[in-house]
Amino acid sequence: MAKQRKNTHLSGRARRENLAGYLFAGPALLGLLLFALLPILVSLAASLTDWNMLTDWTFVGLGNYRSLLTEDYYFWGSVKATLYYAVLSVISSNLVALTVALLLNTDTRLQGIFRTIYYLPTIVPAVAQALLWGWLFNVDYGLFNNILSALGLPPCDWLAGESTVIPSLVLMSVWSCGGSIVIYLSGLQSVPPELLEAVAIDGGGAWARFRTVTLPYLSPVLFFNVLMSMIGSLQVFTQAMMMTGGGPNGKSLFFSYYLYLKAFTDNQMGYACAMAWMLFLLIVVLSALFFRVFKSRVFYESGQS
Amino acid sequence: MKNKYPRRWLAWALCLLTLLSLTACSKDGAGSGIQVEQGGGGSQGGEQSGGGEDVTEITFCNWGDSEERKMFEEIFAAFEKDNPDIKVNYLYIPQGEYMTKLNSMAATHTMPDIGQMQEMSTMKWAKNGMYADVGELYESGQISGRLEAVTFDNTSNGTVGASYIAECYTLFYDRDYCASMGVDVPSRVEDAWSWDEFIDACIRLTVDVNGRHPDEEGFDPDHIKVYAISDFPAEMLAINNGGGILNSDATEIWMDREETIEAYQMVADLINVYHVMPNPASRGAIGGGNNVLLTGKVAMSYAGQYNLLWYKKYIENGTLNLGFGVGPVLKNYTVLTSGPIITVFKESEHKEEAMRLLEYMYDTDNIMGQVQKGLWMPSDMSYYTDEEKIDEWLSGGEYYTDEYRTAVVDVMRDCAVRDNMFKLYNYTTIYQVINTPLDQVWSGKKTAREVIVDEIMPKLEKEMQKEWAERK
Repeated sequence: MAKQRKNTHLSGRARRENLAGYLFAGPALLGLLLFALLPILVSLAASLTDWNMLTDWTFVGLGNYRSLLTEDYYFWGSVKATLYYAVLSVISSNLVALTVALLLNTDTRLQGIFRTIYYLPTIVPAVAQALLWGWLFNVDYGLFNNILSALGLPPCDWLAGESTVIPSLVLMSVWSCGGSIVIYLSGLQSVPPELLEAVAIDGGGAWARFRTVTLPYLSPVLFFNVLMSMIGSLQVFTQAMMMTGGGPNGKSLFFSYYLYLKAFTDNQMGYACAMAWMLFLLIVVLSALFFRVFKSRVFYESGQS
Repeated sequence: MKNKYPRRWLAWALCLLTLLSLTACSKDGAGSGIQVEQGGGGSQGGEQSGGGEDVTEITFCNWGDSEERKMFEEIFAAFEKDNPDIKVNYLYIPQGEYMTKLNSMAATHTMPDIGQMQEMSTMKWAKNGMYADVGELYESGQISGRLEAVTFDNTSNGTVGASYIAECYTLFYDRDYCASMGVDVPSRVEDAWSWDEFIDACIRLTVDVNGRHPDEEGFDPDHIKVYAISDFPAEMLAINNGGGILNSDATEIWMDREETIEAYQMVADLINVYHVMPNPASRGAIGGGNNVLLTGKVAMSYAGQYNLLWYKKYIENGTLNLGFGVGPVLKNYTVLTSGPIITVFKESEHKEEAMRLLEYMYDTDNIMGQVQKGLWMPSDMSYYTDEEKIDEWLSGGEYYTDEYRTAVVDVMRDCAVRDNMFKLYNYTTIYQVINTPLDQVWSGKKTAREVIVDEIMPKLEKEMQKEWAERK
């Protein structure tokens, strides 16, 4: 009832303005519909078929999902590699980003320069990053092993070692956490200095100031950054594509890369679509879990949580 | 006041524009979203506007780098001169994304008329009936007489064909460096090293940062300055040893034969026991492919003959004294081959014109100028048996030395073996099963026997069963 009345109360002008609003949003909506929603639905349909992109598809029901979970040689290994990378990279890149942001937040003379320097890696394209780090990691001639050897330490296998490949890729991801640093920095700006001062007056040290004031005020930003980096790192692709080819021994066969191989190298597009939906499911479940566990611990200044 | 809501007009215009640009994405017409460049020099007589007969436009696709691109433009220009009624549009796709693009075009029915196929997917596409039938061209003898080693198996979907150019693994070496180490690399199969002689040569060629060889006291395997060899294709050595991954017509699995296991272990020993070759996984920047000798980090390199295209520049300016050698012989010296086919795609609406281009490109005389740039080798048998033709081919450049004749041309004729790419529908799936666990052999964590018997064989057997089922 109320809704109806509201509609009839709209003046001609208001209605025209509404129409204009929809029209302005039109191109974006159209794009979303055609280039996101439609392909998403098509991929759901395709995941129930044996589509190979070359010939017509046949409906196979949940067959792709079944063989993915029970027969696939690499599925679980690739889930494991992806989760391992995600956990390690989310923790370390957020820790580093937060630490750097805290340091950059102090008043120093060269603040602007430091902020620029730490942000710079973010604007290096992913492919260029991969090539650059490929050189740094090179076992025989790379910079890292040269440093180790100068320190009298044995060389590391980096990308060539089964146990070192993921930590190496995480190291590389930490290098380009400039985006998170900027967000943390802006979060730090909103921490009220008078509260920090109050703790200081009460005799609280740096740690107490951080724990009782900075961290609660930063928690929404922390929540956002961790969630976004988790979602991003679960979709890690470029490093495997450019640097490792999924090796050694499939230890960096990330889910998205495996999916890509299935689709475009093995011509199993239907199967790859099923994989994409599994990844989507995984991300949804993990995100929901994350919300459940941490949302209540986020502190909002307005008192809403 | 008439223009009270100018933004509404703007909004309508925006929406219309979006719709318009979307219609441009449809598959017909020039705006097909595919970037096509005009083939050849462009304006030979007989353009559409010139009146007279109509010009049919066909699209040709392939991959390659900028040098190769130029070569194809030359070929198309010459073809268009002879065939004024056909215009070739050249669709160039970077190699790394070639099959991604081609598969997407197949899925959206926007295939070019004619193009090169990547070897790994050639059989799969044949199985799915993606090619026009070229059987007649082969049967009539117009494009027959190819090296057996670059022939794709026939399928129920008609003739797949043979490569229009050929490639084989070639042992390139840095002549100056090898001479300075007192190593004479053989260039004839008759003079080839035994395995032990090969190891000896490799040890003399490998030095660490302190100038010590692997057999010397105090040699530091963690800091090697020059490796003897960049890579050794283990499958090739296995066939050399009388084994292989599959038998020659891919009807039996030979992966777990003693000869095969032994050869795989020999390659692993080059890395981990003798320290004369880098671990493939760690090779990274020194690469296994193009230009690797130019880095000065390796003395010899087993790589595709096509590397000559890039090496020749350095031969000509004196940077590199390139040699062509023959590797060690176990039982029968073997090199694996590659070479793409050119095919007319089934969906082409200009099959007749496309076939004419196909026939043109399969005539080696028409592409001899490009072959002689070093990228390709001819795929017709006559260029390996007919002395006159061999002379004609090898008169193309100073880099075609006597060594090239014996270590590349003769080797291709006598020792070339078809790669499994030419035989298997599911090549990529099968080789993933083989190559993934082998990393443990190269890193020295496990022996070839353990990995092949325990990890590869169960999966390989399963995958080959599927492959054989599809053959029926």
